[in-house]
Amino acid sequence: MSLDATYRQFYQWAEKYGEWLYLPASNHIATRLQEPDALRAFARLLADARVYLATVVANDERELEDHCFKIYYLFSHPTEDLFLTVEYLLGQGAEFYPSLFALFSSVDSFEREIRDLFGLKAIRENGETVQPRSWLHAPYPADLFPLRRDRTNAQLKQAVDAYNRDGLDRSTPVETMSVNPGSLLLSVGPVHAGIIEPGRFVFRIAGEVIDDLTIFLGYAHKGIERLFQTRPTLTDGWRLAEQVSGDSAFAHGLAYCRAVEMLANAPPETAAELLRGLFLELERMYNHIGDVAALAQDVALEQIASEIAVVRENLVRLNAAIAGHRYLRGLNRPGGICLPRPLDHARIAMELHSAVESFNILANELTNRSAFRDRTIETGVLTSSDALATGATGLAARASGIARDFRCTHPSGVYCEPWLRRLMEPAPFGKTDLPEATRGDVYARFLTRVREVNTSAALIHAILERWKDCGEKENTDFLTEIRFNPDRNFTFALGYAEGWRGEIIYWLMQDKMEHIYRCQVRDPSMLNWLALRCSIVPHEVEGKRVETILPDFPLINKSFNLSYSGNDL
Amino acid sequence: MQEFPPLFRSLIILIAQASFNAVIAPGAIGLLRWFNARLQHRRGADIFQPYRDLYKLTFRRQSSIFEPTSGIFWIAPPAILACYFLLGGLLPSLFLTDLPGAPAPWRGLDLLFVIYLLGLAKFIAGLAAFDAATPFGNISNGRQFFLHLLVEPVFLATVYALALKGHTSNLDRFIADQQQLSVISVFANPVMILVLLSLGTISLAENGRLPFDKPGTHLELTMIEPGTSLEFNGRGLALIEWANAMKLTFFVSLLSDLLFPWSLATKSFSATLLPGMLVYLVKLVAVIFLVALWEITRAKLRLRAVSGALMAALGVAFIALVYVIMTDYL
Repeated sequence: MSLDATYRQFYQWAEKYGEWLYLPASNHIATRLQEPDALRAFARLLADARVYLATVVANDERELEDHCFKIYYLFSHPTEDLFLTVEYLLGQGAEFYPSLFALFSSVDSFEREIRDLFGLKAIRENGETVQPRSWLHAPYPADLFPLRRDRTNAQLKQAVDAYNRDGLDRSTPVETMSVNPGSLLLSVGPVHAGIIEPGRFVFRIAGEVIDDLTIFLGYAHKGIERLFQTRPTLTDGWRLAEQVSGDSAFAHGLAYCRAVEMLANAPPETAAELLRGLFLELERMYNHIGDVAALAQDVALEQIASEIAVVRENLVRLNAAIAGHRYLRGLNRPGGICLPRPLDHARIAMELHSAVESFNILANELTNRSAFRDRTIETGVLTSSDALATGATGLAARASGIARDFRCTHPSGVYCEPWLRRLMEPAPFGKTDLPEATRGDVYARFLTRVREVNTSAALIHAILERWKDCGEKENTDFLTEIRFNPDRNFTFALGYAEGWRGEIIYWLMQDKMEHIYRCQVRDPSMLNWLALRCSIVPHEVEGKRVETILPDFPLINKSFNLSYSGNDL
Repeated sequence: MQEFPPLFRSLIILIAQASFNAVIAPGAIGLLRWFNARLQHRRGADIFQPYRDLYKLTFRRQSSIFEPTSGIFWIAPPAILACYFLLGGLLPSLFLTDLPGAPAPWRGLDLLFVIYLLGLAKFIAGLAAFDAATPFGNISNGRQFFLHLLVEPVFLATVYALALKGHTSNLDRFIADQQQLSVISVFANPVMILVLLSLGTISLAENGRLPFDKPGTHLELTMIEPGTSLEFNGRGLALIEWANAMKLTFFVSLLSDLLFPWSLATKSFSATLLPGMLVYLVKLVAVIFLVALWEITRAKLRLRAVSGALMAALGVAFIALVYVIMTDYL
């Protein structure tokens, strides 16, 4: 179906089920409904049409005109540049809403998040409600609901302090979890050896085989979404967005800025878009290269690992030289980009060329090592059906043969340019000469990373070619003026960017006085943690039962390399 | 020294050798780590770092007391250390202890004794891990014995091949015989090469080196042997780390003894002590360098693939055994 036909189709559905239809952007249809049955029926249609559930946003609009909580379901079309928002009104005083778990299992983490942060309970098809306390842990009182707007930050802090005054440890010990006789529970974390983020993994093991895995997250909860709606104005929220997940600082900043630009209706100038593309790809490159080094290290090929780490370090130093920050912070502004000094494009092109060259040699060395292939092939397989069912996104989905890439399907900025799209086509869409890169195992994720590094390098070279002809090469600030329209108060806008893990989505609602009413952050990890679990617990691959042994878990985990901070917020 | 009674003399030799071994062991680990770091383009800590670590663990850190454990947990570190201390003393690293006139128990190291002393140390470590009752200890314990189960037959077959070749399972006597031969006649014999191959594999497996285990990993989920000592801290941990260092030195010395037996002192010690020590250290450094070179080119095997590697080693040992029987006994 073409875009027009799809658009019309969605428009008709939205009209049929919704009570009120509006268009937040040219590629976005939104509809509002109140009936649980209508929501479920509509969701069923969408599930059959195989759209992705991009994010679920709860919002406390009790003080606004509808006087109720609202749940916004954001769907994205898998092939066309089209978004669909279904706005569900809970009704005054209501705290229950229907769960879409049976149709979209990726809704699970959102429902658990909403349960703890808003106190809104999703009712599953079997009548159960979502259990509390999987997002906010023991030190927080159970009825804190920090994203409700009826308490100030000081009151929240007071409530938490009062709750912890007795100094008791209220964490749930592992003994209280139920186990079948004969199997063993192994609880790892939340504090780990080594410098990694906190997360608790409870394995049910029989010998070395992992029978089941439960992942408990939320230990890195920082209250970022609450901070968004209390501290910064729309203009300087980018500072907070860059702190969400350190290794995707640029992509997070970019997604935030795009949302603000949508609200202010101020598209940035072409030069700024070129730079944004450049830095987004640089961020992708250094992360992918670093992860390949980590994979080599996990199979104990230390020498190759350290040589790849040198390549990564050179790229990060290049970042520092051109952007003033190793992890590309402080560049994005709503309205464009601020550079610390004029871009030295010749240096970027040169260093990038040598980095990619040596990375390819080393990656090739890895693929030729039978020991590396032996450890990674058929390890941690995420089948494409599991990837679809869990709503996996980004790199993990592409390594399972699913073409999910916002740079292609929902392009913005420089990615809309035909000269750039031409370079992208073969890479993310799986139709390559490398069937091994779409099998969903650790090796496929490794190959996908290698391929994306090369695609990114090609994109950067193309961008730099354009930059040479750009008139404003000597400038450092590329900003369009941002002016907020009070008419857009209490309306929302989307900002998104394809970071190296997958698409990052910011859902931003404008408040009075240019403040933020609600900013929801959707890191790709929110979806991919489920996919990680799926690749580890026993499952069927092409009719064969596949089991994972315990010592392979760190390798599989590393191959996904998900963000805890971006998930826990 | 000749005027001392034989028993006393043997004791002095044993203690001297054991102490020497114990003193250089952390340095040997440090050297291996340093070689590894250099080969990985890292600067690496110097070879004295393990001594500093042991000092820190012994004197600076207060050992926290882990309540639910029984006496086994506390006895384990000194007991494990004692096993390796004894091995270090008995193994001819500087002297051959099979001196004329010494009483029977002091006449050199029997290789079968080595196998079971190593087994004993493992057993004690395993008991301590069970005693602490944490899941990681038990998982590592299972893996450790899975590995040991595969290593032991290889070790036995290797020892039988050596024993049939030298008509003795006594290492000192075997080496004394080898010393009479020239370099060429020692290595022209395929049995020695096969035995060194399988002993090399055993040494890597027993010491948790690549490709069997990744040394120095912090991932508890992948650990084989280090997982059994996760619950120890302070002095207990210092003893276990020291014992592990001595285990590495023991295997390195064993290999270097078989590779180059000619430097060991037999008759009087005072004359050959200093050159013997120097040659021993040179051999140690050479073998450690070989281990580092080997490790830099290896990846870690998947746990289930370990059995394949050890089956190959068993095959090698078995060929050596068959060869000895065919040439010397039929």
